[in-house]
Amino acid sequence: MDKPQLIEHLHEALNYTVYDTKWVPLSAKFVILGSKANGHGIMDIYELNQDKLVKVKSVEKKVAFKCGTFGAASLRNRHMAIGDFEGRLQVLDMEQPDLPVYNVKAHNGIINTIDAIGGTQIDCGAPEIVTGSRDGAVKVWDIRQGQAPVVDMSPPPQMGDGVNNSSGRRDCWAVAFGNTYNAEERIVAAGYDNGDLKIFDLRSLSVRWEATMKNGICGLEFDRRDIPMNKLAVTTLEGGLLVFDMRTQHPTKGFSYVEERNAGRSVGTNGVISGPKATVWVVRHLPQNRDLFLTGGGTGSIRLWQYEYPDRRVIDDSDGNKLGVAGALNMLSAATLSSQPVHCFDWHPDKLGLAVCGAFDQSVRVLITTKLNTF
Amino acid sequence: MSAQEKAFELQRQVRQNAREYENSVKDLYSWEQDIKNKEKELQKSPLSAANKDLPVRSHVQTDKSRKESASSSAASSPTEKQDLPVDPVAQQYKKANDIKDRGNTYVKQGEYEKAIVAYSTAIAVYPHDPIYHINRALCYLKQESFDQCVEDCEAAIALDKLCVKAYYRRMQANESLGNNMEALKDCTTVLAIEPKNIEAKRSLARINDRLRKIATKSGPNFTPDRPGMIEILPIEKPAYKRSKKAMRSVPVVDVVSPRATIDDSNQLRISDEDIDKIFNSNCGIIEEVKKTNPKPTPMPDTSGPPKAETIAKTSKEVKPTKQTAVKVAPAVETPKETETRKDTKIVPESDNEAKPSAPKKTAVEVPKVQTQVSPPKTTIERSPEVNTVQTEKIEQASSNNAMSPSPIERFLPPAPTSTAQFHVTWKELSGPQKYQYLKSIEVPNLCKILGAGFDSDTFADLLRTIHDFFVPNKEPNTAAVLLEISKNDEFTILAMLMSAEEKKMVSSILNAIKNWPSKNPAVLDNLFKEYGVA
Repeated sequence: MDKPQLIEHLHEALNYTVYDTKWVPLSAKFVILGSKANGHGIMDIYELNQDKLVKVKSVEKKVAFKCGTFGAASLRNRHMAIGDFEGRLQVLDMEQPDLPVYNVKAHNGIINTIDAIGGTQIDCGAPEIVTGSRDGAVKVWDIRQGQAPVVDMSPPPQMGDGVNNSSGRRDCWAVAFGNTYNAEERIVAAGYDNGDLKIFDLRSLSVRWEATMKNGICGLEFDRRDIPMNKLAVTTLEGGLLVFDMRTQHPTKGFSYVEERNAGRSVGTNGVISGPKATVWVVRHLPQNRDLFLTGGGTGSIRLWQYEYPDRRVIDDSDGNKLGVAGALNMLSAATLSSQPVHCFDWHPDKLGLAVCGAFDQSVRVLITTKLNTF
Repeated sequence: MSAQEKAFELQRQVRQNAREYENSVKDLYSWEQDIKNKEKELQKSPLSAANKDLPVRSHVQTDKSRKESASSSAASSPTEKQDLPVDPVAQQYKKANDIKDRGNTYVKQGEYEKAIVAYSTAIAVYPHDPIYHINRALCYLKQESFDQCVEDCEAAIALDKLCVKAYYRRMQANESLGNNMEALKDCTTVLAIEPKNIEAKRSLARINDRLRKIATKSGPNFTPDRPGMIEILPIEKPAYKRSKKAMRSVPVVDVVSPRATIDDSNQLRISDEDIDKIFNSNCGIIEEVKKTNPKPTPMPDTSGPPKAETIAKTSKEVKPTKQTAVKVAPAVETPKETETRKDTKIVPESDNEAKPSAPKKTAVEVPKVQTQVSPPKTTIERSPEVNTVQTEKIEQASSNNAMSPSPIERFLPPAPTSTAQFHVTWKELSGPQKYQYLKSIEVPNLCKILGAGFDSDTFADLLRTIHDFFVPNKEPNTAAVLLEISKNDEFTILAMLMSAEEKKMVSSILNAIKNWPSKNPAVLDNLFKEYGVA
């Protein structure tokens, strides 16, 4: 009875497709990135004003926006890094969004996903942006360096007839920073459409670990970016949700994980899970509590999960190697918001329980989650 | 739990949720106010410089690689833009590298002169890096100043013994200079340092090819195998069986003319006059022999035949010795040096024997021709029967010679018995001799002796002889000779083709004869008519 509730506080219908929603740090504003019917990109800034949303600013650009982040921006200068459908990465100042601060043709295809770090965190390395694209490349950018990425993790060029070249390259759908607990260490996790999960170590410039899921990876997030990596949540097509324990890497078995196969299906208010195995589009950890996270699914439902640690996180296997032990997933709450997938979700970093999410029904919603302080 | 209780519980729950939501929203609104105020304050605050001091990731890497390159070899270090090093030597090196970079751009543009200047400056600034020398060598190579290229390569090698490029460029320069052996050495050095260098391999094949070609053409390395030669092969002995005696160094003597022995037999077959013709441009064997012999006059005898015999004898004596010399050479299986030494020993002997005969040779030569005895020189190599053509050749040779012997030393040949003999002899003779010679021929035979070979030159000669000698001496048979000449079959044509000078000569002869006391007017008239002179 004292379970958290996911309550839709505000709802704003839009005349364009929403691709990403992000809170502006230290404000009651959020940004909507989307694509108009004519293919133009649009960025709207809304502000919460009691019981209604006020549009503060609207910027339209030639190319549709796909994703954006404030991760590399400081609190004072609100620079949003945005990836668009033509592979261009630009950094816009929210005060003067017409002229980009930084602009680079980062990829040959659409930038599917973006993550950034180093803006507000202290003692955790340089501000960097990582982008993943349909061209299969994962690139790390530092806007202080010119037009070249600081790290480029492209797949090797494919041999072949050139006609089916695109099929040879994997499509990168999700990237996430993590393990940035000091100035040197940094890890990028990348998920691909074929279910490949790669963990790149930026300090040693090597692949730390790779694994293959059963389905293409849609969403990735470390529970915290700026601590030694603890948990990695992965969501896939066909309703998969996996949480890896990232503390212990076994030499052969790698990281152990817990899997939930029904995360994409809709949950009725009476707790009955029904419907097809839908894609889990997004996973977001609660900024105030790293063991709580929310997933947005293909059926338009969202679910709040709690990760319960096992009694012992590490055991010794028969060879004397350390093996991580995954915990258990406990679904706290579920809500169906839309008939269309909820594919973007953002917790407000400063206000517990406040979130904004976008769905493919051309609307954004501001959510209030209660009783989160009880966990 | 009853249904009523359940319903109540649900109601309570909903009410509680609503209250909670209400509280949350109230909380949210207050938070909204707070955050908006905070935001406004933030806007007013100065722009905080973002994490400025943290290095860009890729820059961190370049720092690392810079450290690595500094520790690696100086020659291969990249000369990209870097902070000036503190070390003065390093500063010099950097300056030199900058100058070198300038030179490199000149090379790319093909301006080798400027590039050479740049590299020279770089060497002056920092003389310890072979790269400047190598690059300048390339420029010299392109400019085809190969000697300077070689010098630079040697300088580079002095700085770095394993400088492959220096060896390779020196090889190229040496190849262009034609020093194939030097080039070969450099090429093998390159391959020793870099066994997989394909270019060097190709060059090696090319140089080897060229060397082989030269060697087969006229190389000093290869002489055809002589028959009966014993090849001494090296013997493989185990270490314990090997001689304990120290190795003795055998002095190796260079043979100046190793091919002389091979040509020796051929030399015998080549006649002296042929040699004379080919090598001395017909300046005459006779004169040459005279020079070697200081006393040619003691034997001015004219009695030919016996002398010729003695010469033949001496030459025959000489011949065997020479033959033995020739025989000895191949028979003795000794190293080449001794062989040649033997030859040189033998040859002077035969020379000594031959020398005394030389003056006799010259003395007898002319009479011998007259008497149809083969000339003594030829007896050495040829059969005694010498055909006339050969003698003709000899005579021609001596007549053509400007330094031909004075008439005193020449002996008048006997009167010719045949046309050929006359013509051959005639051309050899000097003016007074021709007079004597012509006089010795019986007048009635003259027509016959002149024969069909009678040509305008001989005719002019005859006229001149008559004009110069017969007329002053008032020879009685002058008219007869002229008449006899006119009887020749060729005469009519020759008379018609007489030059003005010849006609003048004829008329002066005839006018002179006219004044002589013993004259036959009929014959004279006839002559005037025949010679077409009025």
